[in-house]
Amino acid sequence: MADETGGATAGRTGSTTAREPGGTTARETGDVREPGAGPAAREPVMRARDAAPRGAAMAAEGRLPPERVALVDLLDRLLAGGVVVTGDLVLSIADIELVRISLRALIMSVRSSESLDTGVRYEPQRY
Amino acid sequence: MADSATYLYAITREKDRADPERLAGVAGVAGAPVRAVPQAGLVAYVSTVPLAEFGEEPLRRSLEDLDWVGETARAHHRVVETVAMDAATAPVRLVTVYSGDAQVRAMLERRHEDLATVLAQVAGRREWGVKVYAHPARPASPVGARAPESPEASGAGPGTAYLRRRKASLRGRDEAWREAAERAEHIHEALADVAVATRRHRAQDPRLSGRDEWMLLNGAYLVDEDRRGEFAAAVEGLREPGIDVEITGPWAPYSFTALEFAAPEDRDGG
Repeated sequence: MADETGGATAGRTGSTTAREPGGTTARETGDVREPGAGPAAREPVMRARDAAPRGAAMAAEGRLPPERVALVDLLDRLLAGGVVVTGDLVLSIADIELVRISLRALIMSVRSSESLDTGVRYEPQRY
Repeated sequence: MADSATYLYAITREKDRADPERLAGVAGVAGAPVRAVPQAGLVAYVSTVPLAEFGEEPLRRSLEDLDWVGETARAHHRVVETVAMDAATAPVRLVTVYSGDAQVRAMLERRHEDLATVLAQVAGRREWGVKVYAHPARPASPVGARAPESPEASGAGPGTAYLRRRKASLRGRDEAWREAAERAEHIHEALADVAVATRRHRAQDPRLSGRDEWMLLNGAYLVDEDRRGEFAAAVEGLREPGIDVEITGPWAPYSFTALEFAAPEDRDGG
């Protein structure tokens, strides 16, 4: 479960928000709101102030491009899910501790940059 | 030694084979074009990649570069999304590199049954992500929530504000946590009723999610396409004061195809 790092946050109420990794519009999915319309847009990879207008426009076009998907959500799936094969491989994720490496980089990056508007525009971090 | 390798993104059944024109329109990792490699009633979607970038040593370095990881993850995802647009798809984990197409074919041949089983399980279904955040022990009024240095702004004296904050934070933080965790369990169960399969990912680090609240649930739900509206309505119905429920999707079924084909005899069998 989550680390106990929660703090008091003023002015937020229970809500349901939505983002779309791609494929369909908010309207097609039923009762969910348009991407960027709610607190979800506060994620560091999708700041509300930047994402809202573009996000709404993208949703209107029918899908959000992969560039708009939160990198954290994507890595949850790309590093913990999917078919894993070994044998005959030059390389697989199992051979490299990518999770540890990339998350360390991600944490450092999120800390060091407060003005992200997409998941790819991190300040370079090298170790 | 060859100077290129085969990067594997996803697998579908041959009858679901992705539209070649659509595949031609998508760039894979390192900007490489995407090809379909059919074998044994299945199709693997691959790119030819240079070993100078995707060999073991270059990868060790690249994987420490967040820009590279982000770019590669998005390219991988872009291909998976394209393939999964109208086909039951088994995405392959990020950075799976074969020495050549022949090795990919051999894997399809060898793992045909397992893959066919998985693909049948995800056919006609999509993955949805639901994250639940709680902000427990939040004071009933915004006093002290943000401005410990300027209590006068709240209209209370510094001493009063301090005591109020202290009382709020001591008011059973453990209890608040237990209560919130129970609500998350309840939410997970309610969503599981609509889903055909569920998987719980680890809670995201607050530094990654960018949110101070506790992440109580980071769930993935495999939902029949014809129950999509029902699932969305279930999520909406879970809204209550004190928690945020965030839904993402639809995703290709990343969280429900996590097969581990890791038998050591593979090395001999190929």
